[in-house]
Parts: sequence; structure tokens; C-alpha cells
Amino acid sequence: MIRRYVSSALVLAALFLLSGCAAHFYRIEGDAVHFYLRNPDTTTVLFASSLDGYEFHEAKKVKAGLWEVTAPAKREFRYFYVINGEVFLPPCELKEKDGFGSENCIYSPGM
Amino acid sequence: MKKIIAIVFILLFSATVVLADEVEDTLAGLANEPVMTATRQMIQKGIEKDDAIEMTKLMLQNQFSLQQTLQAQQMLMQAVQSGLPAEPLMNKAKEGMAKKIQSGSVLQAMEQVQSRYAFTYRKAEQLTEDPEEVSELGDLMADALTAGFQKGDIEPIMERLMTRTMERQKVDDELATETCMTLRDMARLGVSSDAITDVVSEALSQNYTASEMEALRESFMYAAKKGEPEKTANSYATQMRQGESPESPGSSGAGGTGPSGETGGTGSDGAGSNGSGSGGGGANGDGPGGPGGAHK
Repeated sequence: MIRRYVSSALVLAALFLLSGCAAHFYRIEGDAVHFYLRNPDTTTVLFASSLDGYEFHEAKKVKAGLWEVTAPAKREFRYFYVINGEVFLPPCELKEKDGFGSENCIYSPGM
Repeated sequence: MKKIIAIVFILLFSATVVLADEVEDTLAGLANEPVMTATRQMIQKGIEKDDAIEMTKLMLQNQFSLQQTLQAQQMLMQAVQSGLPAEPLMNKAKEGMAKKIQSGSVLQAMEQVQSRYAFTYRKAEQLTEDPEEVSELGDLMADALTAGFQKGDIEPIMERLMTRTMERQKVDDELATETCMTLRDMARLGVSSDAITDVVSEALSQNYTASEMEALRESFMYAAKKGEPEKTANSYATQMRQGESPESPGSSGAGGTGPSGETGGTGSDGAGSNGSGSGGGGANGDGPGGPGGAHK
């Protein structure tokens, strides 16, 4: 159990370092995709996606300033975050216009 | 005979009563009679009962006036009647409400989505009569337009696909699908409509097959992630005009020939990461990374 916890923590730390302390990155594990958002200046991070009609899901604080959200990895979806009550779009590769003057990030399996 | 008619009548009557009850139970105190009637009509026209009720309830709870709610309901019914999917419209409305966008702007965005889908489904119908294929191509083209591909640029691509169809006297569904996927994925990477049209038109005029189009897309996605997508697209178009195949091994513009997809696998389970920083092996995004997980 402890070994599993330590290995998860190491993977997370390695990911964080390898991604150049990126503000936003993801990790795929089996059927799940884990999104990580770095934002030290907030107390809550909400995640909304097209998977469930943009219902809000509270991100889990995994360590100081690092937030995690898990979603199904096999389906494509659009998403954004809400930080301090404001819509927040992290830097992401795949994007589209949202029709409201902003954009959405897109998660696409295999891309 | 009389018995059967009576049973059918009773069944129909009880179904209507059940439907009326569910709509009324959920929307009582929120909706007026016209909105409740329109909700029932939505269900009768084929929109899932739960979706129709939830959507109506959400709008009323999110400062949509009764008139605006009716307008959105009519839009959804119109979409279904025209053979267009209702889901993108409902999703746009829910997204707008989640982002706390004013109801008038949400309706406008829904109208844009509807008009986009009407346009792309019409275009898809020019290519194929198979309803499933129309839906797949229509959705892909709509996604491409949402990502920034221009309506006007669909035409030259369609013409080339039609020409290919006439040459072979058969619709190449797979080629059409791969082509539309390429438009969508390049647009999502932020490549301009002109540059996408250059690359894809060139590929079609050089008689790329469906699998060659797929290879082109995968190669492009991989190369674009290592550099600037727009420049990569221009370089691809130039190479293709010079008779080279940028997706082929050894080509200077391909940036590698392995499958694209998650770059920088980080775990034994094939995990990849998508970062927005300038990371190395584990980052996929704005930063470089090596080939990792398989693409699709």
C-alpha cells in the first residue's frame, strides 16, 4: 500500500518535472485521464466538460498549488476550468471557438 | 377487434398521462403551459424525455425568460425535424449556462451551431446517401468549422472529393472521413483555413487514398507538435507541390514517421502526459516530446 502510494507520488513528481513545471498537463492511466493544473493562488478549482453537460466537478488538491481531475480517457470531450468564479482556459494544444467569444480545450484520445 | 382497439386506446391514453405527469411534476412552478406543451412536443419528436425536461428546467433556472425558453425548444425541435443532431445544441446551451453567459447570447450561439450543422449535413448529403455516413461527415465538418476552418473553404475540398467519386463511380466513404478528420484536427491545432485547404486539396489532387490521408494527418500532427503548426502546414503544402510526400519516411517536413498521439510515454501502462510548458520527454503540447503511445 505504502509502496503504491510512494510510486504514484514519484510518477506525479516525475511528470511534473518532465513537463517543465507546466501549468497544465495530463497523464493517461488505463481508462482514465488525469488532468493536472498548477495554480497556487486559489482555494478551489472546478472542472466542466461536455461529457456530462458541463456539470462542475471540484478538482482535488494533490499538493501545494497542484490540482487534479480525472475523466474517462477513451472519449473525446471539450473542457474548461473555473477558478475563483471565473472561466479559465489552460494552455492546451487542441482548441475550438466556443461561440461566446472564447475557446474550449479539447481532449481527444490518442492525440 | 373491439378489444384490441380498446387496449390500444388505453395504452396511448396512459402513456400521455404518464408523460404529462413527469413534465408537470418537474416543471411545476417554473414553466407556464406553453413551455410545458413544448416540452411534451420535444419528447414526441424524439428528444430523450430526461434531456427535454432537464434542458427546459435548466434554462428556466438560469434566467431564460419563458419566451426565450420556448425559442430554444423550437430550435431543438426544428433540428430534430431536419435530421440534425439535437445534442450539440443542448450542449452549447448547457455550456453557456455553466459559463454564466447571458441567455440572449446563449440563444445566438445555439443558432450558430444549428446553422453550422445544417450547412455541413447538406454538404455531406452531396457526397453520400448513407444516413450514418452523412451524420459522421456532417459532425466532422461541423467540428472543423467550430475550430476555425472557413465555410467557404469546404467547397474546394468537396469539389475534389466529388471529382474523385466521379472518377471511381463510387463514393469513397473512408477517404471522405479521413479528409474531414484532417480538416478538423489541423483546425484544432490552430492552422489557418487557407493553409489547411492547401495541404488537403493538394493531397486530394494527388489522388491520396484514405490510408495515405490518414498517414498524412498523423505525420502532420506529430510534426506540428514539434514546431509551429502553421509553418508545418506551409512546409507540407510546398513539399507536396514539389512532388514529395511529407508523410513518407525520410522526408524533411514530416518530423518523424511514427504514429502521433501521446508523446513521451511515462509509465509502463503507456501513460502519456500533455503539458503546456517546455518540457522534454514527458511533455506533449507546446513542448517537444518523442513518439509514445499509439494514435487511435
